[in-house]
Amino acid sequence: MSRNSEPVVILLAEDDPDDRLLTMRALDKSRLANDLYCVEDGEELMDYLHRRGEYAPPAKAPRPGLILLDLNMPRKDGREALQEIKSDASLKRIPVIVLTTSQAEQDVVNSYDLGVNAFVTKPVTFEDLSTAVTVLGNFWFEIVKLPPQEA
Amino acid sequence: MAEMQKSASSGDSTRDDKGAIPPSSVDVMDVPESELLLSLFVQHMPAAVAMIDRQGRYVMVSSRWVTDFDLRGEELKGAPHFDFFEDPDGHWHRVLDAVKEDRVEQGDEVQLIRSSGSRYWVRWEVRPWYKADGERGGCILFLEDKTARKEAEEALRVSKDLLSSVLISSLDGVMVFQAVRAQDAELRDLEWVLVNPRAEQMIGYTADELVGSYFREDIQDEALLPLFSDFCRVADTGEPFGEEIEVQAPEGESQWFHITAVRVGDGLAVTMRDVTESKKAERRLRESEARYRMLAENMTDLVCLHHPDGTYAYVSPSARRILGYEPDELLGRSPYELFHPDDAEALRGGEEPELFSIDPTSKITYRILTGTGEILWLETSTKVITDEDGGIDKYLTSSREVSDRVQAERAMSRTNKELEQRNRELQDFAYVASHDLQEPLRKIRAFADLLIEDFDDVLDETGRYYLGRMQDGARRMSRLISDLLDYSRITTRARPFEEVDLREIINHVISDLEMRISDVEGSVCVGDMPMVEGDQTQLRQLLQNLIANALKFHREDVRPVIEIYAEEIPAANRPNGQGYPFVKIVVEDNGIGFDEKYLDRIFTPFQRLHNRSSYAGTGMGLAICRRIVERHDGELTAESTPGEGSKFIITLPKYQHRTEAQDAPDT
Repeated sequence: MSRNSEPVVILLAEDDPDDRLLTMRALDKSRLANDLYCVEDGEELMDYLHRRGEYAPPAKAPRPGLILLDLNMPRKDGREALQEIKSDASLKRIPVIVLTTSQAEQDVVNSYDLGVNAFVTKPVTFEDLSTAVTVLGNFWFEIVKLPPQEA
Repeated sequence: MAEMQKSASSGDSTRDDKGAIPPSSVDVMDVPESELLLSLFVQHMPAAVAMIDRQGRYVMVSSRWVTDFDLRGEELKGAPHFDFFEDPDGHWHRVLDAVKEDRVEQGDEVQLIRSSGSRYWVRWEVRPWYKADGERGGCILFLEDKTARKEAEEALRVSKDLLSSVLISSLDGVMVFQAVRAQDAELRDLEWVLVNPRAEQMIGYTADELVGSYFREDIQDEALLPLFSDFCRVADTGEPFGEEIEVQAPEGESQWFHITAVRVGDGLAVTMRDVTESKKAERRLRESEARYRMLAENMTDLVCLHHPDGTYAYVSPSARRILGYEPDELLGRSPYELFHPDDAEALRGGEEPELFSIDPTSKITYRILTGTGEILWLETSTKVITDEDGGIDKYLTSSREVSDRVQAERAMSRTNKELEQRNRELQDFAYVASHDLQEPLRKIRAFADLLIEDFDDVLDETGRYYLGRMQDGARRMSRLISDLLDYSRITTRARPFEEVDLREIINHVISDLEMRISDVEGSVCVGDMPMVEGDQTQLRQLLQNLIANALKFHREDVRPVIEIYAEEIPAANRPNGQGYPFVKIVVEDNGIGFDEKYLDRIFTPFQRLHNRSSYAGTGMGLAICRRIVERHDGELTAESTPGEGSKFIITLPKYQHRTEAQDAPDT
């Protein structure tokens, strides 16, 4: 799906392969998965965004229009990654949605303090997950006015 | 006098010797010689005499006149008398006028004032004199100077007044006795000569009763008589007497007098001082010292006095039992000698508080080695006893053996640490339960969904049924985990106690449950609700669970009626003597009820009385309720008759006393 016929790249940071699969299926079902890229932890996420290591070739790491971020990940977790993204002038305009199993108030408050654009607790059933992803896609790609894409 | 005046006025030249100056005496002498003799006679007369003519001028004066009134150098002859003497009140003029009428005047102690200002007290006599022809020539003044005597009398009077005012106002009783002796000089009795008002008060007799009477013979007073022989000895030997005597008053407390007697003349003077107050104070002091000594001697605690250098000045007998030393053994030694070597250094000064702290509220706990080689824990508090200048006179220490307590405290702190550790483990478990156990369940359910969605056409009825059971099981497991988490959070996510309005909470709960109430056509009646201290969120959950239960377990053909009422129970009415007020809240329903033999079961986690297909639920609701009530130091119980209804009874303290860790980790 796209706005003005331009494909929007969605970057999913999730360490659990099952969850990656489920999220992909949900995006698929909502027809949002045209341009989905996945990373497995915070380190990899930052490498992708800064085009380092295996993500050095620009073709391998197109700039995402939206980041779906899990909080609990190995090496560098979502909280740290979120903080880095939101304090980096070149990255902070990318909308970040925390998509997590955590319901802890502290996580919600901290994430918003760090500048997250939305905090979503993963619905338990696949059906609910699909609905949530569809609503999110509609909101971010159809309703919200985003800053212009940078090179 | 009148006779003499008559004869004088008769004008006879041979006057009788009753006349002022017998003219005949002049007649019998040779005139020149007699004149000389006369003038010598007048001049040396041993009295101050002046002869004045009718005009009040001096005719002749004796030398004493001149010397007595200090008129030396004055030319008196022919000078008027009143040039030298003043007469402010006219007394002397009146006297001289009287003499003009041939009267003789005299008087005692009249003041005579010289023009120079000197004053004299005089005895006086004035009589007329007559010339040879019987004509009155003037008067003769005779004055006797009494000034010195008058002054002496005055001085005596003043000193007597002074003495008597001293005696009257004296706070000491004063009595004077005169010895009464037999012919052979043996002392028979003592006569009261003087008793001052204070002495009257002290011995209870008036001076009128006493003065003039005899000590032994007349005043038969038992309280006083014992002193008689002492007083006699003073009068006889002159040895002073001093003693304190106790006088038993007929009513009230006895009095103490300090009595001093000294010989005066042939008698004695006695002073009495009331020393009852100081005697009483002395006795009080003695009694209080005895009391405190008795306290110290009988205390189970060890009570010691220390010199400013810390060495023992007094050690109570309990030292024998506690320290294993005789009290006397320790006198002069330093308490630090008894200290466990590890504690002695620390307590002798340095970072730890010293044994002899200035702070009276501080207590120190340390180990000692007893005389029998045991190691004991002592707890000591110190009080500084200051001297008059505010310096340190002594230290008073009070020590108690606390070995058992210290051991108990250590055991308690170990237990506390273990408990804390277990709590942490529980919290860790709760976190694991909420996140890590939920994760796989979520996936089971999500993939079961996917399976149905993607392979619906491949699955037959049985396959879909199995998948449904699988999902149902996963869902229930998930509920169980989250209920268990709620249960564990009652303590780990506790909020501070505050004043809670139960009525308001119940209103919220009822509005939350409105749908369910109308679904079963139920009603909830709420009586007056008191204020209570508690965790608002938890009390709300408690009432929500109970009311929801009451709605859930209704009888099929009976509309549920729930009554909620409360009662305040004052501290005094608690049967088990717990000394604080309680609040009793009852939630009563007309539902299916239960057999009371299951009473314990219904409050246990995961215990259910009905199968899941009849009534949904994990069996955690009442377990959570009981845990909430217990956290509030209250009790939750129930009464029920199957088929009629149930009554859940909450008893909560009206006020919460304990303090809890209020920042439990967020799990």
